[in-house]
Amino acid sequence: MHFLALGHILLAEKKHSIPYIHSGIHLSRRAGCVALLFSLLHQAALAGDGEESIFLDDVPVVLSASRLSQPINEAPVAVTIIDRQMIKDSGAWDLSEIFRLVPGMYVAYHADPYFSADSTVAYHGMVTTTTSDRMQVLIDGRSVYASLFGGVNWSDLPIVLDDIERIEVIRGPDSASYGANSYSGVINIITRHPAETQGKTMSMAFGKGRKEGIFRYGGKSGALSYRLTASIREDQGEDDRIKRPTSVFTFWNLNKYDNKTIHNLNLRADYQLNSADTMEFQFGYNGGPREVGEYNNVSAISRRAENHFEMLHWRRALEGGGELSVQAFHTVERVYARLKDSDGISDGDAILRRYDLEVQHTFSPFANARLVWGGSIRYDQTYAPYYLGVGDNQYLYGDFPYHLRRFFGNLEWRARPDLVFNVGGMIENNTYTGTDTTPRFAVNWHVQHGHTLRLSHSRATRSPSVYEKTYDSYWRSAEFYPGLPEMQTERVKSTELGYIGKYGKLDVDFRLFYDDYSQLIDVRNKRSAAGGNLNAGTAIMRGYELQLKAQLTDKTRLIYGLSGGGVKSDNVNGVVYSDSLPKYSHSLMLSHRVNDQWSGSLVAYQVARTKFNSTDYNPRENRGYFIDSNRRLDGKLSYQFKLGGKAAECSVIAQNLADARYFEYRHDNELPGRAVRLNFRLDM
Amino acid sequence: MRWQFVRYLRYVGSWVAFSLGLSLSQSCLAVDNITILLSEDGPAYTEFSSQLSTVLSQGNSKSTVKVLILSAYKSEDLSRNANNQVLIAVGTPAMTAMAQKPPAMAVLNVLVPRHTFQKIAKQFGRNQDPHHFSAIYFDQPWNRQLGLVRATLPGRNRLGLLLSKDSAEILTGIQLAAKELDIQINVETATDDSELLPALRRLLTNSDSLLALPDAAIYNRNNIPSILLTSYRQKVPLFGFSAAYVKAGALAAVYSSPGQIAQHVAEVIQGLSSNAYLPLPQYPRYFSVNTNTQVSRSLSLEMEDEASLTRKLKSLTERAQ
Repeated sequence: MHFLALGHILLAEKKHSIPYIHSGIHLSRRAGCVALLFSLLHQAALAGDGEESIFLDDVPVVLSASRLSQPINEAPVAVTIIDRQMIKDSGAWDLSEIFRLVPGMYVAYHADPYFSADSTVAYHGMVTTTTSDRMQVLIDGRSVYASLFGGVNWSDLPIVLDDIERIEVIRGPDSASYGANSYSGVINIITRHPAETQGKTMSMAFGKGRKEGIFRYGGKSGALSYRLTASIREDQGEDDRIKRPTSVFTFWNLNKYDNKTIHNLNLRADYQLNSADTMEFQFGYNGGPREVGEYNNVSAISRRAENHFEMLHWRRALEGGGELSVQAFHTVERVYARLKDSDGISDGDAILRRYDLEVQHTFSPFANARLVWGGSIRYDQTYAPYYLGVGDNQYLYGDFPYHLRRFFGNLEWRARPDLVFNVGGMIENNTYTGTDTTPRFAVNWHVQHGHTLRLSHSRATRSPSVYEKTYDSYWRSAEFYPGLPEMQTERVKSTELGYIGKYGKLDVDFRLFYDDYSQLIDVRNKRSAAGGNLNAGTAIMRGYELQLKAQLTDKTRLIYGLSGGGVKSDNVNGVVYSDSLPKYSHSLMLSHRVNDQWSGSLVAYQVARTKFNSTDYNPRENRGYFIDSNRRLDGKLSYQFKLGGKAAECSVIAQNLADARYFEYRHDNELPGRAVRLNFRLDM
Repeated sequence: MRWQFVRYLRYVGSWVAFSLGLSLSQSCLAVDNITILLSEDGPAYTEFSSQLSTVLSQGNSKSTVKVLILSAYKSEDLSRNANNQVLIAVGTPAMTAMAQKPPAMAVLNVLVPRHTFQKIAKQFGRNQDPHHFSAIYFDQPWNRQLGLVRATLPGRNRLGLLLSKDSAEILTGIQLAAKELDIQINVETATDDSELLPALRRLLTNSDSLLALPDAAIYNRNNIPSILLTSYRQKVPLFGFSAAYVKAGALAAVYSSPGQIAQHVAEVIQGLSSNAYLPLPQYPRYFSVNTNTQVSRSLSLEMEDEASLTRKLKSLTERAQ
């Protein structure tokens, strides 16, 4: 590309003349500006049309700092990586199910009966509400932690499993990097780059109570690559009747209402502006009818979700491996619902909006060091009159605003080749609780090749949800306890010792943790308000986690997770934290590729009995109740073949192979029996 | 045994030629009229010409350097005299022009890929007289490229190559180098863009690393994100052929900068006799190794630093010559 017209060349036959090229200085300024702008956007060729240009051209920076994942033995936190193969092999139907493979993660199928019939995914148990509000969840850096109750409504996320590249689960608090609500852990979902999902793919699934059709198109036009994924899913959820009820009363014979239809539309487009700059755009929609509720209690006559988001992410690769990134997104989660409750018919509409802007800069301030720093602002607006109508109010109208400002930094310093220090923290200011600082210090010592010890200490917070804040205002009103101190963030001080080792083809990840939780929030319980503290809860959690990944042969892979521990708590005001961490839980996945056609996997899960808080209405239990231990076995068998020259795959996936009937989280939440589905997939 | 003998002969031969060249250059009049013909005035081309001028000016020769640019070049600009003259054609367009309409003097082509030089020389019948139409290639010899793979990732010896269907000739000579270095070469061919990802995925199942090739049908800016991301996900590192590749996310690359080639050219010129009897087409003598430590760390690969890899490659190349 020539933007500068070449004038005549003045080259005197001087001895040893340095080439002097008289280029078009006479070009008009405007043309110069246009040329400059154009060349900025298309710094295409440094060289001309010659075939040597391939040696001279700039190449787009693809693996920039934010695209490169940190190896787990260098991370300041414990991380479990779930890759595409693991997701496939697990046979998971719902995104939330995948997390059963993460040591220490407690997953309860479709446990929430009130706001949305969604699974509870809680790291280290300690579940006091079904919306597992103590863990942050991000999709491509976009927080999907909902403002209303906290936590995540998994079926409301505009995402299709097959578009996920990998999931990084941070086991332990990480407010230093991800801010408040990264309290017990963080789930980081990373979708595939459109450049990796080119072509047309069609996938269909049929099974007991389940149907799904997915179509994906990935295209490319010059420096633009894009992907469009559309899907429709019908999910009947649990059986209507409980097969092995705990009580003869009707109430305990019926599962919750949890049928759902999910329409998904996702667009992701990545545009390479020039060799250093990329722009990523995402749009997602998730909508459709969703049932909620339980027999003889609150339930939806009609309920429909309408969610969408838009995101723009600009990245610039800097010299020396640095990066500047600016990300902006907007999310709307909308529910249209008519509910039936003891007051008759109620309007259960809700609108949750979020606007977020984040700037992040990565660079190397001195040799062997890397600094990531930046800041973000967020505005949440929550409208949920029915759900915020706490106490005697049936409705609380209004758009509740919430502002969040963050400033963060983390310095990674490789003091010696075998010694990596991470020092960082976050300063955060929000509408509800003011300013908090959450620091972290970690050191990773590569004792010898393939053996690393990690010691880290960090602090983290969880800020009150809009619902909790509304309760706070309610209790602090003149008619109740005007002297009640304002609610604060929940806090945790976390210390851990980790070991990451490699023994041939076996990867070992072991850690011991000691988490000191304080200021735990309880708002629904009148005793907490009467006692003068809505932040009275404390708990000490100690335990261990082990994760093994073994490539037994070229064709066989084994992944095992084990966790255990205990919680000590005074259970202030009767809020149960003790025993809320299962004494142990295991997961084991064995996958084997027989040949180019056949492959299969077997997955087993076992969770010890676990204590839960008061959401269960079992009359035989008072505050707190145990859910018995359970075992589950899943399996998958796949056959790959060519259909008209195109790659095709037929799979049969069986969840709960043993047809075990057991409860998760609540005694009116019986896991479906054996659920077999057939999946057909064709790359067109 | 026979090979070793031939290599020994070559070794001896090259020394004889070299010493002969040295003595000739001392005894006879050297080339002192140098014309540099640039394909264009882009930074790489001017870097070459200015570096060459600088190096020549530092030498003892009293050569004159004239720089021309192809777009403004007329054949009248060149001297009709072949003696004491050499023309350095920089880049493919300049080479093509000189192949099409040969000037009186010898032409040394630089910044041209090997297979392009061979193609053009053959096309215009200039391959018969390599001593008057020669080249210093832009690409690296196979033993150097494979040597880098070997030195960077010892023990990972399955190397994948992705090619377009018309570029098989790029691979000439690779098997021999691969055999010497005990590297297993896997090749996949992508016939069109829609075949790129399937071919790459097939390749990734049986490769420990990939080597990018100067094949513009595959390795162009629109495909590079797919290739780099897909291979990175499979934890298969990519070796590039320019510094830009390393910046983009390749694990390492060995390459010669225009300045390094200029240094080589200057040494060739200083060794020429007045009849400008050019040495045979050859690979660049000087090169650099770049590595991407962020990528190696992310893939948990332990890798030597650039300086020691360069040293290793130097000794490897010297041993092979």
